[in-house]
Amino acid sequence: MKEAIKVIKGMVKEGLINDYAVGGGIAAMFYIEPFLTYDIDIFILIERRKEEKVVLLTPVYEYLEKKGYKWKGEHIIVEGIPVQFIPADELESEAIRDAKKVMYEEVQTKVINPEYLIAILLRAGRRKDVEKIEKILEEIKIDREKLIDILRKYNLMDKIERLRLL
Amino acid sequence: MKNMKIATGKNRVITRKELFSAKEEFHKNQAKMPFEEKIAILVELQKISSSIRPAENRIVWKI
Repeated sequence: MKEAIKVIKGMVKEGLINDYAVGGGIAAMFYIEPFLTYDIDIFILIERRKEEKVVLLTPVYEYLEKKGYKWKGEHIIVEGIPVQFIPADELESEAIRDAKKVMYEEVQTKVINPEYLIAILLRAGRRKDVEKIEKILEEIKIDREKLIDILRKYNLMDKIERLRLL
Repeated sequence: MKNMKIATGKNRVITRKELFSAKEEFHKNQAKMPFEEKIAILVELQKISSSIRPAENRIVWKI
């Protein structure tokens, strides 16, 4: 995984992406006990003009393909790890900017903070996302004020109240 | 029922309530593990899972 992180950081250095943070299951696993998952979600900040309606990930994938990484289904296999690049929307962009810097085998990387992670998972709202939210709330201390601010901003308060998670 | 006593081992008897709070504590401690250890456990889980139910699109990570 260390090598995959280095490749992603290289993409920032090369200017292909502006910034990134690990999200999804692996970000959840940073905070809660390990569980089975098979891929890494990388949220990316990518420059685009306002008038452009399509987010072009072509340069990102071309760069990785040139390095010899192959596709498998929806993922590109970077150093033996299936990676999915997700262009960030407004909530996810904020999450990237707010992300926690962490060390993984002496390589620094960025992981979405639990409050933003909860909001992103809540918005996705699948059963497995809700389970992760429950575990985060059970297993670690979070900044509730910060979480509520995020949920209010992105109209997610109703959803969390309906699920009785807070 | 709440006060049901359970013998968990030699000279150790706990209540059902204590059993569940120990379980909760166990999960909290698992959550505190270093990220590297969690990823190593994940890979072990992937190996177990793919040996039980191999699937073309599921890759055991190389870490």
